[in-house]
Amino acid sequence: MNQFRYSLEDLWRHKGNSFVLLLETVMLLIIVNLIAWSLNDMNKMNHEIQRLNETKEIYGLVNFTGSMQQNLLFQDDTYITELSQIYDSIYANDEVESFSLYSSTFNFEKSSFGNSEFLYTSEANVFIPFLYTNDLFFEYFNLELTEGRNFTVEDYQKKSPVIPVLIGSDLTFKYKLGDILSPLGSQQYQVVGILKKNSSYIDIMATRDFKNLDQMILLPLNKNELLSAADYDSVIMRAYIATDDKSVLSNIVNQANELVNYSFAFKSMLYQSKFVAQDKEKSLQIQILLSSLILIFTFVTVTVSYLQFIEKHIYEFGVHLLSGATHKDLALRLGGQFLILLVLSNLITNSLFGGFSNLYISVIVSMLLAIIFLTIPVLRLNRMTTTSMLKGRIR
Amino acid sequence: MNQIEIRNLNKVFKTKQHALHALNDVSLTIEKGEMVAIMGTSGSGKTTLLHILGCIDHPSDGSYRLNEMAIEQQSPKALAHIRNRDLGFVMQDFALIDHYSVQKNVLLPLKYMKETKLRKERAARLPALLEKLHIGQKQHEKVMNLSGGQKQRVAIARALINEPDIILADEPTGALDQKTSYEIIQLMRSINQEGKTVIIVTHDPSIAAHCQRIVRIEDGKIIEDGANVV
Repeated sequence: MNQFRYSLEDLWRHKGNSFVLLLETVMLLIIVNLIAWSLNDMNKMNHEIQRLNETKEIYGLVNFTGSMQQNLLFQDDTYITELSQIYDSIYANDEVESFSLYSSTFNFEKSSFGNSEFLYTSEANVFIPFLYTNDLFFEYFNLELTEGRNFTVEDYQKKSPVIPVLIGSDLTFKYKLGDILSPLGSQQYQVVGILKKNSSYIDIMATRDFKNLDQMILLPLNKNELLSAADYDSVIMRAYIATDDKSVLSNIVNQANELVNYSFAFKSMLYQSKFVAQDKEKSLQIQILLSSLILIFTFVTVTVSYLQFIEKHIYEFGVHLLSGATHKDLALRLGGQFLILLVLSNLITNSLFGGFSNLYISVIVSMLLAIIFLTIPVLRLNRMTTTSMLKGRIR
Repeated sequence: MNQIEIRNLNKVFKTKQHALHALNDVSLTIEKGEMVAIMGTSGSGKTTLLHILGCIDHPSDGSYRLNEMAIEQQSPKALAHIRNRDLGFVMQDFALIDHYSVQKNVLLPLKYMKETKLRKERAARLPALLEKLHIGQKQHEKVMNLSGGQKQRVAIARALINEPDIILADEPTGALDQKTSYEIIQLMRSINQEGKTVIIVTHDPSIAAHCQRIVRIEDGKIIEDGANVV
């Protein structure tokens, strides 16, 4: 306990140096946690994709339609009937199972929100993302509710003045079951259910990652609520189809091409995941390289810093030995300093980056760092005799 | 009873080029309550001998018994315990920590004492001890702000705080003026009169003159050991 107190005093006396060492260890822990998180994320994603494709292979839509053609479709909603047919061939087709991952945002007046720090905001607005969903979406991503009810068949089909919605768990700070949501515009929405915390889905064609639903709103995918050609286009372009029969996909592609000159294709989620994995591996390699450089740099600075500390306090250490300390006590004092820095680093990393930091990994890495960084200074200390320490006064 | 008994002690400092015999077949006994001066010129081996007696250095060979205990067989932890409980050190350069207060310096040995009750008892005697050494007013001052004489009084207070049987002093007046040196040596005498063994390493005959016994050492060998007849 005494040595721990001396460690604290040492850190305080060398505040500047301690701060630099703290920053370095924080940086190192962050990057190590980032690597662990990326590895875990990659693993999780691979498992999830395997799981999703277990029964039927899932295909995502890749759009090649030119922007001019697409703009033409939106003008005056002339092609709304054709777009409706394409919609039906995807979402009301008994030969396939489909779900949409079309997402956009609701704008709310900022003044009506209380603590909305975790939401996207502008000066006047708060933006909350929403996602069109259907039964298959819930089934595929194993989504569960903590309160309320899921969407009913009626919700997916009937036009209603107040559209039922499900909200992510983080939004319960503002809304509860039965509350009416009034984003800018005339449409109103009512909360009928609350999603379980940490609910997520994977959108490999767009974000190429897991998307958390805690701060999102889920809307029922209801054809009757799609009012414009743009609405249809959005939902069609973000379609995912599960099927074992590739000819169905070809039929949809051909039909869309014939009707409105759409040009798109369906790509296998499994196939696409290989590219995602490659990208993630590349970024992982960069992270590992970066962390190695920081590790080397930190190792040098920590070792040099402690060796300098020993040199500077050699006489003081000698006096402690004279008074009844052992070399082990002095090593504990030295180790105590680094231990305090590591505890602080872990606290900082965990509080600032709690989302991806893993305490278990941080603690193991910290222990390894302590062993690596303290070996040379402790050996140096142990090789010195009390006599040589007492002769080593720096005046 | 012999409190200190060393037999055929050798200390060799080895470098890559050569070996230096700092102590050569030294044998010495000191009884409890003695006040002994170890005299010798610079490089004679007197400080090395004191460091071995103080368990802060190890002999190359030979035996050292302190209070019937074979020191060469003790672990580093046991040696630290001996330094803490049985020995008090007073050094030429005071061996104080400049940025600590007087109080913190004096109480340092108690930090390494495990028995809480005893530690508290001894810490409670601090004001009286400092008063006795005429540094009571300086208790909270940083050591770096004190004069040489005051620093040496702090060192003596630290040597005494744990009530050791033996006080080892290495040129305790070496950095002090004549008047202060006299005061310090009188303090050492009064400590000895309280029953403690005092061993002073010095090259100064006027300091040695205050001791009952003088051991002369030259080139690592004891050349004279006898009662002070001055």
